Amino acid sequence: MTDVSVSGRATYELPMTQRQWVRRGELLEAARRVFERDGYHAATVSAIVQAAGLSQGAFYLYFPDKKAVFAALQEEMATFLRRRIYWATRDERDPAQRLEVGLKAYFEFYDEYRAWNRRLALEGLGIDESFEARQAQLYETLAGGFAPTLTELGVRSPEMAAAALIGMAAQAAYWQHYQRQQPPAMNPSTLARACACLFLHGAPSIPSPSTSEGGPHA
Amino acid sequence: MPDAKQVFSEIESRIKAKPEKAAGMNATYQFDLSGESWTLKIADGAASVSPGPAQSPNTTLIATTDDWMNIATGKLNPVTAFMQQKLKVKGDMGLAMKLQGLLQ
Repeated sequence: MTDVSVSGRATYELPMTQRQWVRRGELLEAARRVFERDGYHAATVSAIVQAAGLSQGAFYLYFPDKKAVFAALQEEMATFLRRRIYWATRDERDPAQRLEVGLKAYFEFYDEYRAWNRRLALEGLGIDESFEARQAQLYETLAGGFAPTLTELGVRSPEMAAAALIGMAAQAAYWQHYQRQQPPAMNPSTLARACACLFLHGAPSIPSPSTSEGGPHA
Repeated sequence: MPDAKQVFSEIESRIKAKPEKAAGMNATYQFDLSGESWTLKIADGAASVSPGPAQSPNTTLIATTDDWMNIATGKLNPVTAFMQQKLKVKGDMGLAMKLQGLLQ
């Protein structure tokens, strides 16, 4: 699977000292917790520094404002997701299997950072154009990573199909975590298999929950 | 799940494909991973990887193989790993931080 970099603009110019690197990391982690809890609009720099156990002054050494720390988080999380999918799929020779393990990596990431992903889905596109552009770039990058696999599978419009695949995965993950009413929930493997079947062979091919692999969601 | 050798080979080939990623870097990294060592040398926009310890590393990174693989494959945040002492760094910390860019 092609690994296309999501461009990352450093919000803190290198070189950083060890202490600065750790402080910035602490602020990002604290900011993620606050954004997940309060949402972008209600989150404040005060709440972030309080969660990080740092002073307000320390925050402004690393980020000019709330928007900048959200943007840095968006880029960091995109990098983690992209890297996970890349390594999960890199050595898988069978394209159908590669599609499934790529989707599984996506759903595992969504599962692990579900609150963050929910915030992005609900608010990330409504903040301003730069956030929207960053999110669009991530989707484009992910789609670009899946497109060669779809070509191998005989898909004639791989770019369009890959974009649809990413959209389907995002919606399925959101449905799984925030809309689904009936238990048991599907684990990432089961969800990935269902999505791969739906995408490649149509809805009738989706395995029933009793026959598909994997148990209740952790 | 890839192994450590694949991750180091990947860094090597990425620098080969995009030498600008390592522009201006002149460094020897040693990785001590659960009892095995690896050396990554970067000089003049080229990288070479070899098993075994380095003669005089600028930076030594110490972690379990599992933790290192989780960092490399995006499953573990390197800052979190460092704060939790899952990743230890001896020597030039600035070079260790630059490694993040090479893994992306």
